[in-house]
Formats: sequence, structure tokens, C-alpha cells
Amino acid sequence: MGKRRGITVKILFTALLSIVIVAVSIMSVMTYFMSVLTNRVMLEVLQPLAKTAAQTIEENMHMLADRFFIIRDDSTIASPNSTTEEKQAVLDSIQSGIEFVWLGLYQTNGTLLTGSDGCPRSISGRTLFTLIQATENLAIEDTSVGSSGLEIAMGIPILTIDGGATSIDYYLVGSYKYDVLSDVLGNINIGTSGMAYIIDEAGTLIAHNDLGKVYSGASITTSLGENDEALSLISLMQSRQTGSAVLNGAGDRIFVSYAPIRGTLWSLGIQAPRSEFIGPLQQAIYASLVIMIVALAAAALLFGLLLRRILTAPLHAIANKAGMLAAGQLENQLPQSLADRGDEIGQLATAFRTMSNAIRAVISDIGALTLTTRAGALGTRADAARHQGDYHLIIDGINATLDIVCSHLNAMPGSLALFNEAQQPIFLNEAMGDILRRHDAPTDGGRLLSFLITSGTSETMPPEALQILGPEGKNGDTFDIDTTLFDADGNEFNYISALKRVSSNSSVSADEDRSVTCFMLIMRDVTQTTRAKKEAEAASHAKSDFLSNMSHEMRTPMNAIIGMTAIAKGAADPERKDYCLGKIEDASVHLLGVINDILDMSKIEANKLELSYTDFSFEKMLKNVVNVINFRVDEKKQIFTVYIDNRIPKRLIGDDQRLAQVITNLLSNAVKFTPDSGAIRLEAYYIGEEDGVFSIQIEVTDSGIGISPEQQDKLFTSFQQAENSTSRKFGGTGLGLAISKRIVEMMGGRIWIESELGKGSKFAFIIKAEQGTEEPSPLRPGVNWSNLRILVVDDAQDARDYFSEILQQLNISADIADGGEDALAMIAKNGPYDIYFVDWNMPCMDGIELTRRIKEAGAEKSVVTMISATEWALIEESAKSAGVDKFLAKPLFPSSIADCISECFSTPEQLMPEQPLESGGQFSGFHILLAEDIEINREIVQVLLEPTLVTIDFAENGVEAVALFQAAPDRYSMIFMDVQMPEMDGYEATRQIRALESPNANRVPIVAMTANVFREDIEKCLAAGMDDHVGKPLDFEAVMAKLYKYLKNIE
Amino acid sequence: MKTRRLLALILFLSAVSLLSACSGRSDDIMQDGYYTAVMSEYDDNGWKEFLTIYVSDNKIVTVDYNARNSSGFIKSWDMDYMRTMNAAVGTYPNEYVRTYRVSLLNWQNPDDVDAVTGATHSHITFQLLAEAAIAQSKAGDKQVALVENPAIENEG
Repeated sequence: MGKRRGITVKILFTALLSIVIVAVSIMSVMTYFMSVLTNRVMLEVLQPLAKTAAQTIEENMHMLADRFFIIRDDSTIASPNSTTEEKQAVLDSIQSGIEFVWLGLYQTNGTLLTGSDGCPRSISGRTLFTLIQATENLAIEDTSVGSSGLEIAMGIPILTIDGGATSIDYYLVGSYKYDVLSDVLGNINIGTSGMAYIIDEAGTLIAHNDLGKVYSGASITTSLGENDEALSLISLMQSRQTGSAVLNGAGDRIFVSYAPIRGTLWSLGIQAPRSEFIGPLQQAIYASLVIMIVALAAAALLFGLLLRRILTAPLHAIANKAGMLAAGQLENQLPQSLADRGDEIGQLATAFRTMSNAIRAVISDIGALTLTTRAGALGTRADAARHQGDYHLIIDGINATLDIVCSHLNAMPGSLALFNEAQQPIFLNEAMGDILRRHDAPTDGGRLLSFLITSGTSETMPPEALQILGPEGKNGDTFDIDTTLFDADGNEFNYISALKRVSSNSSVSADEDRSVTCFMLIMRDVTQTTRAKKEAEAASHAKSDFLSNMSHEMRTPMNAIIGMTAIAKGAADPERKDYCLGKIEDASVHLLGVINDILDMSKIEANKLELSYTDFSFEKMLKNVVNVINFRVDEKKQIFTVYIDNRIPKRLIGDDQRLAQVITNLLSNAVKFTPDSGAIRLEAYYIGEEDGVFSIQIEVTDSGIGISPEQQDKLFTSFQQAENSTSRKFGGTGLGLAISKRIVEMMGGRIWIESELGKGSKFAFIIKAEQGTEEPSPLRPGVNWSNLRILVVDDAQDARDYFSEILQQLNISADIADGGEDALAMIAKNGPYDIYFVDWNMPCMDGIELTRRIKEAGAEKSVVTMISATEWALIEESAKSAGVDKFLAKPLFPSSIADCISECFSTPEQLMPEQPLESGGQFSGFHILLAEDIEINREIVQVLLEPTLVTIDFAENGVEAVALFQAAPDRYSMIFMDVQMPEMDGYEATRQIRALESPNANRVPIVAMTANVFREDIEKCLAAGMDDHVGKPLDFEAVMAKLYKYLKNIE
Repeated sequence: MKTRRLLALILFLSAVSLLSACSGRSDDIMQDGYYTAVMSEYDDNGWKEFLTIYVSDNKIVTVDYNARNSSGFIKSWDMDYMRTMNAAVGTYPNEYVRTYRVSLLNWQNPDDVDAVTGATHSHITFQLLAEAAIAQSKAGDKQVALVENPAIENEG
């Protein structure tokens, strides 16, 4: 690359080029206009010059011609009678003193009659003679060479007029000197090279500045050339035209002006070379141009010098500094003097200095950040506020990047700590901070690394760590450590740590790099993994325990069944047999519960547990649960109360069986873990409603043994009980709460426990359910219940409140008494009541005594209802003797109270109790069909139903069942159908029976009798055409209920 | 679009005007210089009339009107003729030539040149020659125009 030309050189070059172009242009334009103007001026000058010269010659010729006319008019000359001598005398007188070369009078034949000396003897051979003969006026001959040189001859005929006829007698002919023409031509100022001339009609030069051309009879073409342009001009001259032209002459252009000389056949021309006139002008132009160029060049040079001083040199300095800045030489600053200038260069220099300062500051900050970041101090930030614009954005971006890096480091699952060479911490991510806070790590930075590596002990660090931290360590050396630390509560936390030596010295290989940038310690919290591992091991252990427990749970009742069966077989004493059978029954029920739990749990584990939604009565469901659990409560003489929030809808849509299962499980546990005479409370609360979905909280509270927090955590886990010893002590699979938890969660709720060891427990759960169909008032319609007067007597405040709430719910007003004395006082005051609800067990005066006193007080028509948790049979005799009319078992339900009130005002028919299960012969005459493939099951049914005298036909599979029914369709009033049978199962058998044409085929009740007791199994049976379902193991009462249900209607 | 159309229209009108002006100049404007017209034939008296005008800036500046014979002699030199004519018709060539020349310079139009009594033939030839010379000047033709001799009687 060549050396760059400076801006001064460029500007000067441009200026000079511009000057040259302008000068050349000006010169060209000036030359052109000068040329055009010169042509015009010269032509305009020459033209009148030629015209004037022609006119001068014309006047001269006219004057000379006039002399001839004067002579001709002379009488002597004109008279034919005058003598020759007389005529000569006249000629002499005229010629004397005049410029005639010669003057003579010639005869008509051209011979001289008389004349002066020098007259030619004859003119007959001259052109003039021819001309003179053709006119009566003057004729002028072209110049000719005479005795004295060039002459101009003229002649005029001497006329004689005689009687109107004109005749020519003589010719007066004379010759003038050429001076007449040369004087005029010589006076024309046409420069040194110009010429003037006169040509005749033939173009011959008859007068010229150069006499030689006249003598030689040269043509005008010798002066003008013979080109078309010249010939055309000559033609114009010959035709006596006036004009001017510029012709291309030999080597130069020629100005030509011409004009005819009137009175002759001549034309005068003036010509001059153009260069003679243009030359000085061009010289002046060239001189001006040169002077102008020199002046402009000098001005350009001066301009360049000033430009260099003012502009180029500062720009060069700025450019140099910019280049140094670009090369990273930030310390080279532009001189302040340059910035102090007040012009644009000063502004540029100031801006450059500002820019370089800003760049220097930014680079400085970036460098500092880089150094600190490389050293691991990631928390350091530059002050972005010091910078403006994009610099601010750059610093801000770097800060943000470091923030992001720190954020990422903070977000990384592992814990990171960076230490400098002195093992002082320079960066700790948040996870590391959490660890340090959790384990109360020393704030003294020097001991922190040791603390983390040695698991918080004061032991010396392992040699591998010392190797990394010491002078012999190399870049990239890493040491993995398993660290265990404890928090303030003594909880153990496990970490896998990695200590690494980091260096950034790129000048040596990593193996040789002994320098230290920082030490990196990464700790990964594996506590959860460790715990999960331990928990998995514990779970595995728990499953083993569970299997062992299940084995125990199943084998124990089975052992009882087998053992008691053996004892019963060998026993002769009926009471002993009954005892054994009772134990067998208990063991069987227990075994059935275990099996049901295991089946449910297996369904949950297989994710096959599903809910079946039905419209059910919430209170009735609770009542059924209470009925189931109540006998166990009685056995342990526990106090069992129920509270139902009246805001809970009467009917709900949900899986009532699964809900009952949960509550039953919780109540069973409560009964199980509550000592005798303890208290158990079942409560249902309305939580809220959203979009038609009600939240209901159900609580089971007991005053039992309570559960520790550690045990509570395991309660709802599969295969877990509070502790294994619990199952050994209280029995149970430990699956109930896990099943309950799953069911509650499926119902959109949750379950939890609040418990304290020795102070009892409260299990609570929330379910979500939609409201079912509206339920009519439990009170019989048609009765004005508002007039009814009721007195409630109970010593327990909560019982009184609950009773009052129920009656308020039924829109029935009542008086409440807290004891017998209070009740009697109210009766004395208000008179007898229609209905009394009297608690059996009250202090001072029990319910029986109070009833006796009420009856004695004359309330025969009043109805006294005894309320008691005690079994009615135990107090029935004394109660009835005291006058108690009705019995209402605790816990109380609104519907039970409503039913009781309604019954008090019902007809005797309405007061008929439910048909008791008769003890025998009630189904005599009925035929039923039992399809069952297991013989023992057939025998059990046969034995169970034997007292009813019902006739049973047996089929061992579906095919036989269909065949028997088809053989005698009207024989059977009912069919018990097992489901799983060989050859044809119960579903298909039912479908085939229903498909028979017999009228009874569609009418006969078919009741499934199967161990498949889940709702979907029941629904499957109903879908096959069956009417009902009874589960296995068979419940005698359930079977009897089905018989009553279907056979009584037929009856 | 409107601006472009307007500009095109202006350019078109300008071009038409310029062309009209140019054509008008060539037809109507007299070019500078000398223009000469000559009768094609000598008359019965041996005279051939000629007229030269000098035009500058579209204006006739000078007029030279005369007649010459075959030897170049011009009528204004012929004193005998002038005396004879003046005696016969009351004017003579130098006088009516001056009148015609001045009239043409004044009117710049041959048709406006009034005839001088006794010089009607010359008036006719003057007008013919002037028209021919003017035509030559308008054509810028420096060649001498030849004018046919009118068939009229001589002045005297």
C-alpha cells in the first residue's frame, strides 16, 4: 500500500484541479467569445471601411467622369463646326493642371483627331473603344499599363443632335493616373498584413496594394484562394454585392469585406488575416490565465498551509490517538490544548477525550471485574451508574451476567464455596449458605474450609485435602469426601463433597501449574437420598413385618377357628360347644375384616380402587355406622356421642359405603385404643360450599392412649402401624388408615391426626360432595307440631344443647331441664307436657325415678321416652314399671327423635313395630333354587334355612340351574345364584333364565350369592338380570332379610 | 402523478412555443447584412436598376437605389438625363431616389413607399427590388436577387 495522502494534499490537489479546470474553461469560453466577438467586430469594422473606400473611389471616379461631361458640353468640342485646333485648344485648357495622363479627341473609327502628348494614335483595339461605342454615356476602362505606368482610361461619345436625331461625331478619351485608386487603397488601414484591391467583372485585379499583381493581371483567387467558400465570395463581388466574410485562407483565416464601386464594373475588396487581430487578444488572455493560475496556486498553497495547521494536523493527532485507543493503549490521551480550542476541532478533541475517558473507565471496571471474577469473588459488581448510554448498558449487562451466574450458582442443586489461596471464603452460593446456617458453621473464614471437610470435627484434614491445599497441589486436583453434619436439633445431614484446586495460568500446562486462583468446594446434599434409602430399607423391612403380621393376623383367627372347631367336635357339653362356636364366629369375623383390608389395599396398590356415587342420606349412613360400632362401645362401656351440624345437607351424592368404611375404621380404632369408660365422639361439621360442592369435616375424637408425633408420620403409610408392638397388642393389619387416606383423597379431601400421647387422639378428614335430592321433613305431615309441648331432661350440657338444636331444626319448641328436680319444678310450674325425653343416667334422680314421679303427677297421657346409651334390655323392666313408654338409644340422631315424636301421635297401626324375624316355619310351602358349586356352602344354606321350612332345590352349576328352572318355571319363588361356577357362571345362567319364555322367568327374584362384594361386582350382577345381592361369608340375617323381602310380597 | 403530468404539459407547451418562435424568426426576421436585388434585364434605355439594403437588428439601415448601364455607368451620374427628366416630369433620379430611399427607411416596408410624380416606373421597380432584397434578407441569402422587369411604360 502506498503512503496515504493527507487531507491537505487532497484538498490542494482538488483545489488545483478545480483551478485548472476553471481556468481552462474560462479561457475556452473567453477564447470562444473573443473569437466570435472579434469576427463580428472586425467584420463590422472592415465592412464600412470597404464601403467607404468604394464610395471614395466612386466619388473620385464621379468627379473625373464629370470632367468628361464638362468637356463634352463645351460648345467647341460639341460643335461640328469648330476646328480641330479649336478643339485642341479646349482640351489643352482643360488638361492643364489636371491629372490627366493624356486626353484626346478620337474619330469614330478610333483614330486620334487631336489630343495631348501621350495620346495613343488609335483606340480601336482597346476595350474602351468597344464600350464607348455601346453607350451615349461615359465608359471606364479597367486599369491598364500606360507610358507612365498604370492608368485609368475613360471615354465619352461627343453627340450631335440634329432635329431629334443623335449622332456621334467623336470620342473624348482620356486617361487618369492610377493614383486615383492607389491613394484610396493606400489610405485604408488594414494592418501590416492586410490588403485592399479592386477587381473587375472577370475577377481580375485591376488595383491592389501589391502593384505586381496588377501588372501581372492576377486573379483575385491568388488572394482568396480557390475553395468553394472563396469562389462563392468572388461570385458575390462579381455580381456587385456588398458584404463581409471570414474565409479559410492558406494557414490562417481571413477577414474579407467587399463593396461595389458604383459607376464602374469594379468591386473593391479588403482582406486581413485574422491572426493579426486575434493574436494580441489571445496573448492577453493567455497572460491573464497564467497570472490567474499562479495567483490561485499561490492562494492554494497558502490555503493548504493554513488548512494543515488548522485542520489536518489536529485530525492527524486525533487519528493517531484513536488508533492507539483501538490498539488498547488507553493511557495515551489527547493533549488538553487541542481540546481547549473553541472551534469544531476543539469540540471533536473534547468529545474524543470524553470518549477515551469513558472507554478507559469502562475497560478499567471490566478489567477489575474480570480479575475479581477470575479470582472467584463473584459477588463483586461494578458501579454502572458511573457510566452513560451503552457503556452503562455494558457494565449493567456484565453485572447482570454475574448476577445470572450467581443466580445459576445459587440455583444449582449443589452447594458451592470458593476460597482464595489463604483459604478465606470469597464466594458462597445460597445452598452453601443454607448449609452453613443449618450447621452453625464457624464465621471465622479461616476455619470454614476445615469445618466442611472434616465434618465439623476438629480433626486434621485428610492428606489428600492437604495435598490439594498445599504448595505441591496442581491445577485440577480433586478430592471427594463424604461429609456428615448435624443441625442444632441433632438431625443428621449427609453430603458428598468435592474439593478442587483451580488455576487459570494458561502459560504452563495444567500438570505443571502450581499457582492458585481459588479452591472450589462443591457439596451435594444427599440427605434425602440417604434418608430415602434408609426409608426404602425400612419400608422393605415394614413389608416384611407386614407380611409377617398378616400371616399372624390370618393365622391367628384361622388357628382359633380350627382349634375351636376341634374342641367343639370333641365337646359333649352344649355350653362348651356354644362357647367354641362363639369364638369361631369372632375369629371368622376378624379374619373377614383382615381379608377385606388386604383386598382393599391390593386394589389401592393396583390403582383399581374406584368410587361409586349414589344419592344417600348422610344421617342414615352415620346411623348405620354407629349401629355397627355401637355394640363394641357397649362392651367397653365407653361414652359415645354423635354431633351432626344441621347445615350439612340431608342427602349427599357420593360413595356412602366407602365413606362409612372410613368412619367405621376410625371409630373402630377409637374404640380399640380407648380404654373402658373412655369417651368417643363422632362429629360432622359443615365447612363451606362452592359451586354446589359441599365441604364436610368429620372428626372422631377419643380419650385413648394417644400417638407420638413420630408415630403419627407413619400412620397413614401402607403396612405401617404406630409401632409393631401395637399390632401385637391391639391386632389389626395396619392398613385401615392407609385405605382411609386413599378413599378420602379420592373424595377430594384429606385426612389428618391431632394427638398427644396419653391424652387421646382426634382423627379428622374433609370430603367434598354435592347435595342430593331434597328429603322431606322427618315429621309426619298433617299434624300441627307447633302446639306440641316437650320437656327434655338431661344432666349433660352438650346433650341438652344437641337436643335443643335438633328440635329447633324440626321447628319444635321444647323446655330443657338439667335434672329431675328441675324437670319436676317446670312441670309444677307449666303443667304436664305432651312428650318427655328423659335421660336414664342422671345424678340425684335418675330417669326411672323421674318417670315415676311424672306419671304419679298425673301425666298418664304424656309419653315418656327414656334416652340411654345403655342397652334397652338391661333397663327395660324397671323402666316400663316406672311408666316409660318409649326408648331412644344414644347416640341421638335427628331422624330418631323425629320418628319418636311422630310415633307419639300416630295411629296404633302406625305404631306397629317392624316385623320381627320369626324363628321358624315362616316360609313353609315356598320353593327356592340355590345354584352353588361348593358343597359346604350348599349345606350351610340348607342348615341356615332349615328352620324356615322353605324347600330348596340345588344346582351345582349354571347349566343345572337353568335346566331345573326351565323344567318347572313356576315352581320357584326365588333363586340364590352363585356367580363363579364351573361350566356356566351365574351371570350367564341368569341371562338364560331371563331369556326363557315362561312368565315367571322375568318375574322370579334372583339374588346373587357371591364373595365378590365390591360395588362393581354388584352392579355387574344387576346388569346380568339379577335383582339383589348377598355377600359371602353369608350373614344369616342378611339372607333372611332377602327372603322376607321377596317371599313376603308373593305371600 | 399530477405534478408529473403538469410538468410534462409545461414542457410540451414550452417546446411548442420555442419551435413557433424559431420558425417565426426564420420567416419574418431580416438577417443582418447587405442584400441586393437587380432587374434581370436592361430597360429600353439601357438601364438596369438595382437596390441594396443594409439590415441590422431586423431593420433596414441603409438603402442604395440606382440604375446602371452595361458599362457600369450609373444613372445618377448622367447629368444630361437628369436635366432632361427634370424638365420633362419635374423630378430627376437623384431626387426621387432620395425620396424612395428615405421613405423605405422610414416605413421599412416597400408597400408604404409612395410614388413620386414622374417617377412611377421607378417607384414600381423600387418596390419590386426592395421586396426582393427584403426577401433575400429574411432568407439570409447574400446572393443578388434578379427581379423580372415590369411591363410598364418608361417615365420619360
